[in-house]
Amino acid sequence: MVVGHLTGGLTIARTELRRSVRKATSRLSQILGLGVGLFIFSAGALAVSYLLVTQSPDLSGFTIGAGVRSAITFQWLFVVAIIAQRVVTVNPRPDAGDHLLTTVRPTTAVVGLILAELGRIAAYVGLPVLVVTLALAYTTGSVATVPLVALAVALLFTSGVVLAHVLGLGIKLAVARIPVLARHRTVLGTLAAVLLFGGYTVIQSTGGGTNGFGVVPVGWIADLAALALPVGTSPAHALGGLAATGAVAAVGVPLASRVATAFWFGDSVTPEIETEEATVDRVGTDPLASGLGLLGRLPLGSGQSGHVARRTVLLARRAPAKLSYLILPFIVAGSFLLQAAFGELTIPTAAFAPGLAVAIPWVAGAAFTLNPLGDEGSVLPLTLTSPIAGRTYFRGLVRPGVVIGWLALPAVPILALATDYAPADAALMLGVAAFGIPAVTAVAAGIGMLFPRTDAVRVARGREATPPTLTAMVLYSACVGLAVGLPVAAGLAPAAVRAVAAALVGGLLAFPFAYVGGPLTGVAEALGSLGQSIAGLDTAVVQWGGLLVPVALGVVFALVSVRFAARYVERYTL
Amino acid sequence: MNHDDALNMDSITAQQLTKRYDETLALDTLDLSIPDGSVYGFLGPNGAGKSTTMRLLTGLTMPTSGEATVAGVPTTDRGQLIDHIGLLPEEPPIHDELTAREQLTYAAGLRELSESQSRIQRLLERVALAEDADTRIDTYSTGMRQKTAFLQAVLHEPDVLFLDEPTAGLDPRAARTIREFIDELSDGGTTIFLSTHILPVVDEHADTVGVLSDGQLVAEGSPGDLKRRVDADTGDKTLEDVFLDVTETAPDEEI
Repeated sequence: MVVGHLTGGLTIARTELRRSVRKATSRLSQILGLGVGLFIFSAGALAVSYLLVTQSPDLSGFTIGAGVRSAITFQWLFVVAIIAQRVVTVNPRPDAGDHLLTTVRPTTAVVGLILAELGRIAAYVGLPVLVVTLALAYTTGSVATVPLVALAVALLFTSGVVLAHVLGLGIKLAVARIPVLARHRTVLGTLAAVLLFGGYTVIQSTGGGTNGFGVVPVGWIADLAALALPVGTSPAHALGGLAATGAVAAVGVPLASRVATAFWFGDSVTPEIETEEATVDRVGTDPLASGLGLLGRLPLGSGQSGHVARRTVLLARRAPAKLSYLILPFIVAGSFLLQAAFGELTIPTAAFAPGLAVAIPWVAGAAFTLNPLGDEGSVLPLTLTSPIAGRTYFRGLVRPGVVIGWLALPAVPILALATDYAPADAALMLGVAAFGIPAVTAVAAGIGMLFPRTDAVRVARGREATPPTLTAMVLYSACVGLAVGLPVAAGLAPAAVRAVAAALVGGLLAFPFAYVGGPLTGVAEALGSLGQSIAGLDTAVVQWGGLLVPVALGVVFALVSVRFAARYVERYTL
Repeated sequence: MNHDDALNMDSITAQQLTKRYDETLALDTLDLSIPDGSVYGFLGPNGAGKSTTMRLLTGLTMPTSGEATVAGVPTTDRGQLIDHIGLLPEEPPIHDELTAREQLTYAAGLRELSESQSRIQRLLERVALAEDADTRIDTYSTGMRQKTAFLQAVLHEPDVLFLDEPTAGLDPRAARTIREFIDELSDGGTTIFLSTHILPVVDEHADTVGVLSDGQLVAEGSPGDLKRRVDADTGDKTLEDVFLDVTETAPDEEI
């Protein structure tokens, strides 16, 4: 039976991996991402291997102690968390599940999913680990290190992936069965992500805090990997690590199978909650407005553009999962905040108000206008064949972000005054944000048109959505940084902006030219002297220049963007 | 064993089969008795409980109460059940990144079928898909996707085949290919549970028709019997007339 599950699992894993490779190589962005991932892993491994072979370091003084074991356990737990998160959001059920689950037993399907995940991990870390291991074996003359490291790494990842499937499927089962979890899953999921990444960066940055993980025997596998190396190891710990990782894998597979069976074949409270939430109270004569509830009171305009605006908000309200990409910057910010709070025992309150002054315009533009064609989805032919002018259409698209953004603006001066900013600084942040909202929302429309995503991707809970492309997100974020972030920074801290600008121009930009040398030395020198000139600027010049130039550029970009986007949609063909 | 002899045994049975989702009664005490080797046409309005019934009979969902067997195996015994059934759900369960041949090879591999490649080639030729069998599925038309999924469901020669809208969205030629295949399978002794809204298909192929409405089986019989029951005088009613008639009737006023 075990062999049957393994054979079937291998068949499933092979197919899943083939699908992953074909998916990854079907788009340039995916290939680039894959290349960057492989480069990151391989470059580090090559560098370490090079040092090992050329330097032949004396390892005899090194001992595998609590610190190493603890670090291994900590990283293992992080891998478990990341893969569990993948199971919850990306792979909670097998694709084409109706066929698979009427063809093989659930255990075989679970084994297949686990093996496929291990295969994906091996594609990234397999070769780098092998290269470093071979270098280590060559340097120390210990051939036995190769199978020992291979065994230890295989056990470490297998136990981690198995445990991640138990946890991930367990979370999905809990959400499927417990109404309160099902109802608040988005909020709970966001909170969990902030805590996970924040907690990881906190513990990682505090360093010593990880020693406590040394008691978990999973990390003892380090002793097994190093058993044949000329370093201090503990055979008892090696045996403990072997037993612990083996036990997690052995117990985890049947457990994951049981949880998967309960989840895949059992009932869920989600449909009832969704049905309940889908019920709409009708008031008034405008179904679009009444469907918006309180949001219907927003001044979203009338006529054609009003219809577009209300439809846009209604779709986002009914399917908030499509906006899930908006929380990414906040997860990163939350992680940094946690790190600062725990690492340095201070909360950087001074960053709150400027951060909010930039965040509100960013969200306003990113929410509704960064992928207009993709957001239309199957309705696009209707829109394109409707007698609506491009400018009218974009007024409707832009208005929800602008209105909602402006409504959120009072939070900026309130937060600024509450965190000890002078009233003038609070007014500056308010002014820049108020200007930035319409400007960046208009710019977003143009960028979204240039880099649309029309094919849906799977987001949380297996639902599909069409978030903006990564290119659009990066370009748009850069524009927000220029049009809103720079004026805020220049207005509040001109000296710091001057120093950063001088270092960027005179240092970072000049460096490659200086490095190449030859005829490019002149460019490096010019950039260097420009950097010095910037450093010598009066702070008042930086303050006003940093404020007015980006604002002027923002106006120009916004006007160009609206004109371009309106024409683009009018001439767009499927 | 000829076709008539095969009809002597029940291949699908259900006793008081019930499925409740919280407050919603999706299937209400369904009783079924479908002879071996027959084609059972399963009709009903959208939301009547047809898909739920199919998921219950294929072990993809557990009943709230009642029991069912398929090929003599309780549907709760998934381990045994999967050896006897083939399923074509409404959404073809195939991977876009694979080719039809790869998809079928994968399905054959999961069931550890021997000499699968020659069988796959025969089946591909049978449905005129051999020429495109090495092209990725994401370039296929609806009909080609449906044919691939259909072959996947019959590849292992199941005792009982569950088909949910097998000809929906197909052009007449592709639909005919599938219908002829269904006939062949039926003649070969495969029991076919056919759920569709395309009533002429049921009229042409089904030995027995069951009509589900609001989770209850409101009519059952041969197509001819049902037509006569609706209009005993002239007998010139179509299955569409029967469908409209019985699904308008309240469930407790079963004809």
